[in-house]
Formats: sequence, C-alpha cells, structure tokens
Amino acid sequence: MSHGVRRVKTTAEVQLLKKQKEAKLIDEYRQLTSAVFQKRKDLCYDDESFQLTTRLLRNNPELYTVWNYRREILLSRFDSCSEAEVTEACQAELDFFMEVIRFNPKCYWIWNHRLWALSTTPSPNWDMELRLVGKMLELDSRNFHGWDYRRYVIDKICSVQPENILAINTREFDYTTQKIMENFSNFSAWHNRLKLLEMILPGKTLEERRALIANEFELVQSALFTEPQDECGWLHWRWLIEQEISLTEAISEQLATVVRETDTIAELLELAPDGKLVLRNIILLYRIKHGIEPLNAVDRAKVGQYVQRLAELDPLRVGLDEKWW
Amino acid sequence: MSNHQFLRNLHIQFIEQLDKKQDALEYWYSEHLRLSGVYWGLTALQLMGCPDLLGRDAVIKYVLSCQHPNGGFGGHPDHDPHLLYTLSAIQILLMYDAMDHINTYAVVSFIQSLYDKDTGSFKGDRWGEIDTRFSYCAVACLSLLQALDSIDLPRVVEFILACRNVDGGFGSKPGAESHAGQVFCCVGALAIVRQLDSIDRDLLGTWLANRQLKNGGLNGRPQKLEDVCYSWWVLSSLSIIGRQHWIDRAKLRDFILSSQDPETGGIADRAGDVPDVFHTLFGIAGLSLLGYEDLEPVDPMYCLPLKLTEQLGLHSEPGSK
Repeated sequence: MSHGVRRVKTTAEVQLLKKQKEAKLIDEYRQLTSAVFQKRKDLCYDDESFQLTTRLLRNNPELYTVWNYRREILLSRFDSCSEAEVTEACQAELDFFMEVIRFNPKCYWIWNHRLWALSTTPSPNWDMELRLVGKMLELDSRNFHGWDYRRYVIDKICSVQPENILAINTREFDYTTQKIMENFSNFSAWHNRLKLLEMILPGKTLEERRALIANEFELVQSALFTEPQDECGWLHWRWLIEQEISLTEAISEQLATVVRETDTIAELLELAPDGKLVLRNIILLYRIKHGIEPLNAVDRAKVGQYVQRLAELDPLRVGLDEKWW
Repeated sequence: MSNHQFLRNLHIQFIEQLDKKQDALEYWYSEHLRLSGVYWGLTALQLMGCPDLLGRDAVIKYVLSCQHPNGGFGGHPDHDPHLLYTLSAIQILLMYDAMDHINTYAVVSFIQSLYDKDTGSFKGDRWGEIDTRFSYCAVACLSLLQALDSIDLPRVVEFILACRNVDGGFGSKPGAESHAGQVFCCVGALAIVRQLDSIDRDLLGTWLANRQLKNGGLNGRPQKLEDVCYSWWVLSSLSIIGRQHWIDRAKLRDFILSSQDPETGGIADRAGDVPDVFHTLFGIAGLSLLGYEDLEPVDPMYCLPLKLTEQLGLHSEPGSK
C-alpha cells in the first residue's frame, strides 16, 4: 500500500540507474531477511540473531513476524535474568521504539511492541510515557495511534492511583482545551474531550453540570465562529444541546435552550451566509424544536428556505438533506 | 460526465504483472502481506470479469503454504499466523471454490483461540493486540466458514457497540475516535450477524456523507485528505445501511477514475500518485458498488463478488430503517 507517493516521469537512463541501485538494496535486504528467518527456524535465540532483527526491523518495521521473533528471543532470556536485567532490556526496547517510530509513526507493529515492553518491564514509568506521547502529539496532533496510546497510558495511571481519577481526568480535559485552542480543527482532541466529559459529568451536581456545559458552549461558539465550515465543533455543539436538554424535563426550559442556540446560529449565518454546515445545523435545531413542540407556520417557512438554500449550496449531499427535512 | 475512461485492460495487465516486479524494492518490502495482496488482486480481477488469470492451482498451493499447524494463516510462508491473513486466505479459497483443500475446523479453532471472553473482543494474534478490525476478520471468516455458532455472538456485538461514538461512527476500541475504516469493520460485522438494528443509521449516515469532499473523493476522518480506499470503507458502509444516495455518486466515480494510472494501469490513493493493488481493488469495488463500468456486483459486507455470497446464502439486502 503506498500513500501519497507521487508519480515522477523519468528518462530511461535515470530509471536504469535507479534499478541498478535498487538491485543492490534488494540483494542485501533478501540476504538479511533469509538469514533472520533461517535463524528463527533453527530456534536460535543468541545475540547475533537479536542484532539481526534490529538491523532488519530498522530496514522494514512492517515485518510483524520479526517483531514476534525479537520478543521470543528476549523472553527466552528473561527466565534466567535478574529484575534489573529485564528492566534494562525492556528500556532498550523502548529506546528502539523511539528510533523506528520517527520514520513510521503509523506502523501498528511498532506501537504493539512498545505496549509489550511496558507490560513486560517490572516497573513501567507511566508518567514518563505520558510526557512522551505528549511530545509525539506535538509532532502530529491527529495521529490516532498517539491518541489511543495516550488513553491507554491514562488508564494505567488511573489504575495505579484510583483515588486520583477525577483529578487525572480533569488534567486530561485541560490538555484537550490546550490542543483545541492551538487548532479548532483538531477532531481527535474534540473527541477525547467529549469522552472525558462523559466521565466527568456524572460525578457533578446539577449546578456544576450546568456550569460545565455553559463553559463548553462558550468554547464551542468560538470554534464555530472561527471555523464555521468545520465539522468538529458542530459535532461537539450538537452533543452539548442534547446534554443541556436532558438536564430538565420542563418543556419551557428545553425550548429556551433551542431558542438561545437558534439565535446564536442565526447570527453566525449572517456572517457566513454560504455556510453549508451552518445551514444544516440550524435546520437540525428546528428538528429538535419540532421534537419538543410542533413548529408553527413561521418556523416552517423558515426551514423551507434553509433547506432550499442548502440544496443549492451543497449538491453533493442532496440525498442526505432531503431525508433530514 | 467524466472525461476519464475506466482502463479495464490496463488494470488487468497491472495485476497480472504484480508478481513479475521482483526488480522493485517494494515487491520485497511488502512480502509480509502478500497473501492479502493476492486477495486484492484476485477480487479485482473477478469484479472485472476475468477470474482465472493468476493460475488457480498455483495460487491454491501458495495459500496452503501460508497455513500453520494451529489453523491460522500468515501473510507469506514462514510469516506468523494472524487474523488479517486468515481472512484473506479464506476469501481466496472461496473464490476458487477450493475450501475442500483445508481443514476448516482448524481455522475455526484458531479464531476461537483469539477470542477474549471477558470483553467480547478478538486479538489479532497470540501477542494480544485488540482492535475492531479483528472483530470483523473473525466474524467474516466464521460466517464464510458457516461457523458463526462457534462464538458468543451477543458478546461480540456488545464489544463492537462499546466502540461506537456519539457521532454515530466507530473506533478501533472503546474510547477511540471514529474512523471510516473502523466503521466499515463494525458495520460490516454487525450486518453479517444481522444486528444492524442496534445502530442509528441516520446519525452514522450523516457522519459518513460528510466524508465527501469538493473533488468528490472521500476522507476517513474529518479534516483529512481524500483517498481512494475510502471509496470502499465509506461507500460500503453507506450501502449496508441503505444510505448510498446521501453522497454524490457521479462525483465519486470521477474521483476514482481520475486516480487511475493511465500508463501502467492500477489505481492510486489519489490522482498523480503511484498505484498499488490495494487501492486498485478498493477503487474498482467502489465503482462496482456505484453500479458503473459494467463490473460484476460486489457484496458490501464481504468485499467479494455478490454472485459468490449469494451462492453461499450469505448476502442480505440493506434495510432502510
């Protein structure tokens, strides 16, 4: 599978040179690969075999079988190792991860190997892992391996300090604020924020929940007014409306939420009259309103106009919008 | 209408030539997933109506050489067994009507050995990585082997649903963000075990429809670039939930056709990039689902020719609830 590799036109001469160069690389690579697989067949767990896996995985970290072999070699030694020696060997694996992940940040097998090293070492340092994954997310703030790993590390920290779960989740929540302020279009950060809110909200009093949700509306409003064409903020906003409505059974209060948001989004629509997502979501508000109390003729006429305008602006999704109203 | 023609003959040639590219480094670098490569190539050929170009006997022999005593298949001889390649093996053998060459009980027991009864999830192999991709591989394999009764389906479904997000999509594990590839795995698995009623099709359909970008291509997550392989992951999911018409199909067709390599054949992730067999299959399967180019119809749940899944009694029509 090649992603994002551009086709380049070359002359026959250049191509021939490239082929010659590749032939040499292929030769070396095949020799190394067959040496490693032969060693494994011979159940060879010595230093030389281990070093050969290092060389080969540097070359091609997608070779999952070679990662497996590397772990088999390490495990075969651990029986007769002291705790300090196991720790040291696992640390070396964590360092090896750092070396190879730089060039292959999306390779599943490399990430798996880190998890294995941490589950094998007698004393994993989860705080250090958190700092590390923070650095990795600075390099690519959307790498889902990185975010998955962050949640994994947080889970581990929570399981070691169950008394601090709320504080840990709150700190993570603040981390997503920071990431979102850096870039309103970071869907991964919004996603994680929502997951954290789902954990934080149930432990709060009604008043605290109202305050937290009001805060969220403020943040999401800045996002929507800055990037009205970005789905991320809208998904969060839609979820917030559901949350606020679910706090009360009083129809008047539920309607008040919808009316307040309709006013805000109508204001946004004036600033971004061609905003497809703005239109689609203002229609959504009327749908929600209709679910609480049947719409009157004025509202209906408005929705009709919005739907028509949306069909003109976003011909791609006509099928979707027909369904939505 | 598009300016682009579907380059059927070139694509057939491209796939035929794949095994002859031994002077390319990439040929050797991709050895660990060759079995899946064969599945991608063979399925693409079958969808283009020429089933026998790779040499049936040689391919069957190759597939069998990837099987391990525990029943699982590796991506190439001497490479370790994994659910990813086990599914590819079963798909290839079924396309060649060659299931009698293997002991299917061994395959079923390999899959069972990777089931985690505490969570309802599947590990990819004995090293324990958990991902909804593997739930799909396991469910699809067992269904193709007519052995779905060998696992605790309600539990498997429960795990998949625990990976669902409020945007309607699914992630790789509970807590993970929605991703179109994972959506296909989860929706496909739920469809195979006839549990689609547990999802909100309009909500998911909206998220999926928003994957279409101005140029007609589909991306896998918000704010990401379009890529031909999502023509399959997104479109098949939309088809399974009966919402294919929520995107602009003609524009998607144009996008896929523009990603063809007019010189060598094959389809790339997007226009101007180097083609490969993975994107070639998922581009062609997308075009087949869209109903263009006179291709054999594809089953959106299995990514196999519809004729085959109908023969096996496995195909089900999408509901529109």
